[in-house]
Order: sequence, then C-alpha cells, then structure tokens
Amino acid sequence: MKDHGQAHNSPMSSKPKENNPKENPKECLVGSGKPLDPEAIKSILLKRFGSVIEETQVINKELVIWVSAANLLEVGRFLKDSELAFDHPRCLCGVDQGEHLEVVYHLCSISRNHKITVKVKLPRHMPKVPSLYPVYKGADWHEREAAEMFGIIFEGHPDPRHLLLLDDFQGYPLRKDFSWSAPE
Amino acid sequence: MAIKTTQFLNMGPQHPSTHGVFRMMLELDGERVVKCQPHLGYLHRGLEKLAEMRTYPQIISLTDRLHYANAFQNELTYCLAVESLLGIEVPKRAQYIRVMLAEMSRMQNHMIFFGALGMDLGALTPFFYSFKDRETILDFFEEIAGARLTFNYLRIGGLKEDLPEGILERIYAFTDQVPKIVDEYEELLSGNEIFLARMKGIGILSKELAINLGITGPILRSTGVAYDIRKVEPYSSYEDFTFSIPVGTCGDNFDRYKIRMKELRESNSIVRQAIERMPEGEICAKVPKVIKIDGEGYFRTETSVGEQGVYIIGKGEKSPYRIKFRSPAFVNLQMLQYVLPGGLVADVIATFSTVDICMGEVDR
Repeated sequence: MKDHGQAHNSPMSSKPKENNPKENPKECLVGSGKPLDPEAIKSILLKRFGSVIEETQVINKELVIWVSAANLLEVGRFLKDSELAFDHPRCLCGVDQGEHLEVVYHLCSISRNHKITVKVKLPRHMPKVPSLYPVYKGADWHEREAAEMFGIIFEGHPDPRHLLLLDDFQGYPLRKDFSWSAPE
Repeated sequence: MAIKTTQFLNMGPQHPSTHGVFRMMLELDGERVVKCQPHLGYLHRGLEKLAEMRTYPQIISLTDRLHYANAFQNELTYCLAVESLLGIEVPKRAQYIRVMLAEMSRMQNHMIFFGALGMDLGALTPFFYSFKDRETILDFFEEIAGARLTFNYLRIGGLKEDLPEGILERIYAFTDQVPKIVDEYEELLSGNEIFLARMKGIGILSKELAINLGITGPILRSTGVAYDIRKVEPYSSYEDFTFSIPVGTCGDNFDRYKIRMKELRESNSIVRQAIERMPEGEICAKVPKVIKIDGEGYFRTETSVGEQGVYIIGKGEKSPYRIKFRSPAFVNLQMLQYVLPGGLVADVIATFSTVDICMGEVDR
C-alpha cells in the first residue's frame, strides 16, 4: 500500500486534461442573475409554449407545471437553455396517483436561484416518457430508480437496467397495488 | 501483436475502501481505467415504502438510518418539511439547538472523512487523531439525545427535551480547541508529499458537469460554485449566523479535501455563535396530537454531503401518501462514471474517498 505514492509520480503528469476547466471560476457566481417570481416564469413559459403547458399552479411560492410526455423534451431543453437557466436537476421521482402515474421533476437554477416543478401524467397501462438524460445527465440514476419502482418506461435512456433492486425482481414495489406476498 | 485488450476488475462490495457495500466494475487497459460501472442496492431497505406505512412522527426514526454521521441533519430536513406543510413556527431556542447539533454533526462527519481518507491512502495515523476528537462530539450527543448515532431527538415542532444542565459550557470549551485540532490535522496530511501526489490534479470534475449532474455540497463548491443552501435559502435561523462558504478552484481531489477542512472551522464558529446567543424559552411548539397533512412540498437543507431533499405528498391521512428522500450522496456518486475513466486504477480509491458517501444514504 505504501508503494502507491511512489508508483504515481511518473504517470501523474500524463493525466488526461479534457475535464480541466479553463475559465475563471469567479464567472459562475451564485445568484449572478436575478431570480424570477413564479408568475414571471409562468408568463415566459406560456408565451413560448401556449397550450403545451397543460396546467399551472403555485404551491409554496414555487411554480408547478404539467406537460404531456410528448412535449417533455422540448420543454426541458427550453428550461435549461433559455434565459430561465434551470441548469440544476434537483430531484426526480415517480408517484402512483391511483388512476394514473406521474413523474415529478424538481429543477432549480444555480445562476438565477429560482425553482420549478414539472409534472408529467402517464396512463397506467402504458407509462412511457422520454428520458431527460440528453438534457440533464443527473437524471440518469433517478430515472432508473423510478423505472424499477413504478414500471415507468424512460425512452432513450442509455442504461435501462435495474439500479437498486435485483436484476430479476418482479413487480414494481412503490406502486400502491404491489403485493407483498411471494410471487407464485 | 497489436490487439488491444482490456480486462475487467470487480471492486467491492466487500472492499475496505468502498465505505460500505458499493461495487464497481472497472474496465482496465493496463493500469488505466477505461470505463467504470457502479452497482448499487446492496443496502436497499425500501425506506420510502416503509415510510408510507408509518405515521408522520414515526418516520423521524427512519431518517436517522439514512446516514450514520448526518442523522441530526436528516431529522432536521424531515421535521422542517412537515412543519412547513403544517405551518408550525418552531421556538427560537429549539431552532438554535437544532443549528448547533447540525453543525456539530457536520464537524464529526468531516472528521470521519479526514480519518477515512488518510486510511484509504495508506496513512493510519490521521484516523486515530480524528476518531479521538469525533468521540468527544459523540459523547456530547449521547448526553443530549441518549444515543450516539441514531438519535430520534428532534420532534415535529421542536425537540424531545431540553439540553442537560451545563453542557453548553462544556461544548464551548471543546470548540476552543477545535482550531488547534484542525491545524494538527492539516499538519498531518496537507503538506505530505505522497498525499499531494495522489490528490492534486486527480479526479478533476468540471463545473458544467457538476451542475448538470445535480451535484451539491462540498463537491460542487470545490469546482468553484459558491452554492450553499444555508445561504441561498436559510432555514432554522441560519440567517442569524455569520459564516463564509469555502470555494475551491479546479475541482480536484485536493480541493474536495481542503474545502472540508475549511468547513470544519466554519462549522465550529457557527456552534460558538449559537452557544453565545442561545435564547431561553420553549423547546417545542404546539402541535396537533394527530398529524395529518393535505398537500405536497419539496424541502431541502444543506447536510455535510450536499442537498438533502424531502418530497412529501400527503392526502389527509396519518401517514404520507408518497415520500421521496433525495439523498445527496446518491446524486454525487454519479460523478465516478465521468471522473474515473482516463485515470489510474490506484487513483480510484483516492477519488472515491473524496466523494464521501455513506451507502445507507445512497441505497435508502
């Protein structure tokens, strides 16, 4: 174990450098842009997307929007790349709402310091939604977890294996109709 | 003979450096890592499903089991979430005690980090230094809450009971020594040549990738982003305290280590401020006997690892309809797939150690 330090000195200089940030770290200061209140975010989104935003609501001073699965990728790209700058995926989870399933995306912006919740309703018999991995890399494991726990299919996910459960686990444990008894 | 071959190396789950039961499949080309594929789930207990079958106060003891070093902070996140959904105002004294305990557990978490990091790199001495001091903090915890790791001390609306007599003076006396203790730590490792060779310029995480991955906590700050929820969205009276947020420059292993050492000093100063200004009064607000929540909300706090989030959906029942624990280590661990390839297999341990995870929190 002691030899490790010695063995390192030579190859260390040939480290790949592609990850190395070149710009000044001071540029990305938190709160460099002004935070927008929920109403302002809502009006920007409605202006750009119109009826694609199916429903809006403000819960705890935070905007919640509903979009359909078909439009999710487009809305996600806009949220990240537009002036709204929702660059930080906070959380992603599935919810079993009884008659339908739901995927809830919690996004926030580090540069502007505001938040949004995006919800997608999915039919129980065919819960398909495009993966947000191309937009937010952080969606990777969250989506895998939601997929195994709720049976939601994230189309285009690069690695749709089970994450926490066994590879051959049957059923979707966080659904409300999950049976605790052993499978026959 | 120019056939390029790679070999696979299975690391974990029973590996002393994986901090629990974590397994990764490394694809190696000689000594270089080509690909890293993490495997989780060895400690999955289904906490979210268990929580759906318990009443709101019962869930506090479940949140203890997320992270053995961050139990106070995880309890705090959950209690704050329920309190804000119920609209309960927590008495000032309880808020200050909560801050004090959260910062003390941040200190002892970083002490574990320091000891384990040294040990992963083959230096055994730091471990004894930091665990000796961590023991002092755990003794305080035991006196306050009756347990060393899983406290169950916070309540919805406040605390279980008031602090034991005279403990504040003793904690204050301990905080006097902490700057000296941290100096001692830094003397042990920060200038060590072997340590620097294994930390500087290794495991570099770029700022853009860190933000896009949703990484939070000391790892995000090590890339140069001064993002701390205690400042951005103060909770539990954090706005009353003055403290600074240490920020790194290039996001390598050494930055991640250095930031935690600086945070140790900052947390110590918050504990001192909390004791100096500790208000008198009630320790628990008036809370309904049976807690029922109708509504939903996502609440977050800054634990030692990063952003701990709790998403609660209540439908007017005694237990939550759905509860999601967004644990920071779960998200932070994703960075391994991007950071390790291209590096040496021996650096895997060093980089993994600076991510500072607890598998209980990752697998839930």
